[in-house]
Amino acid sequence: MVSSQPAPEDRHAGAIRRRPRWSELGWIAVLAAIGIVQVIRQQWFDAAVYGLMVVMITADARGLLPDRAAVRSRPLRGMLVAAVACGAVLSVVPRHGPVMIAAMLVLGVTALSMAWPGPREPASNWPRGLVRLARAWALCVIAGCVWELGEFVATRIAPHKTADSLSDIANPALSTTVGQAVFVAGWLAVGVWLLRRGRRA
Amino acid sequence: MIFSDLAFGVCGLALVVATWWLHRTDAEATVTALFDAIMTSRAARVAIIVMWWWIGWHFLAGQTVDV
Repeated sequence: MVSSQPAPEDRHAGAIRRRPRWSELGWIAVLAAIGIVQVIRQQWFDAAVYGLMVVMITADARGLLPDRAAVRSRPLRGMLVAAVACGAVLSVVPRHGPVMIAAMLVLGVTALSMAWPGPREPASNWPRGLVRLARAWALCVIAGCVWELGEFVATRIAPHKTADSLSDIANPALSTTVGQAVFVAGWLAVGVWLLRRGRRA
Repeated sequence: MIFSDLAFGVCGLALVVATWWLHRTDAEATVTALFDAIMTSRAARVAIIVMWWWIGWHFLAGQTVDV
């Protein structure tokens, strides 16, 4: 059962049962779709990450997990210092090496542990301008994803075809030291920015 | 390759132009306000962070290009 309204709640073993909202199901579907692509790519770890996230978010949306609504403080200065330290390491460590893999795993667990606590319910009463902006972003991002998916499918149908996915385009630039450093800096800056979003005033 | 460059370029440009245009017509419509609203929901917040992390993983640690 799905609801767009606050659902009747049923307390059970410390958690409060609820019905998932349509928006939550949408995010679960997005993660599941990316996970399926990883299965087709035979990237089992990537697929497992997305699969685990689908299970966790579904369980949370159904109220099977305790609601950790309290937000820990995230001082910008501390996050920036940590990001600069991470950036210094990730910029010089060889791509795909064991140190890079270990650093990325630690970063992922840290980011997830920071993102999980906080409000569960989506914001209501969006201003009209924000709704228009959300639609424009959704349209552009979906268009890019459809093109990427098209390129992915094309290379599966015709393996001899030159792949033109975003990864194929960006990979040569990332193979250079400067390219890797620029990517790491931009990626970490977006991460810090994202981790500070969604906090209710 | 040229078609993909063009397609991703158009999507990126459309994103920038639409954001600039909508902010011009409504001062409340900012990217920060948009993500503040989206990421109020835990499902959205976690999904977006996972996708952000995976982009880094994909390009830095995992298999970037399928051979």
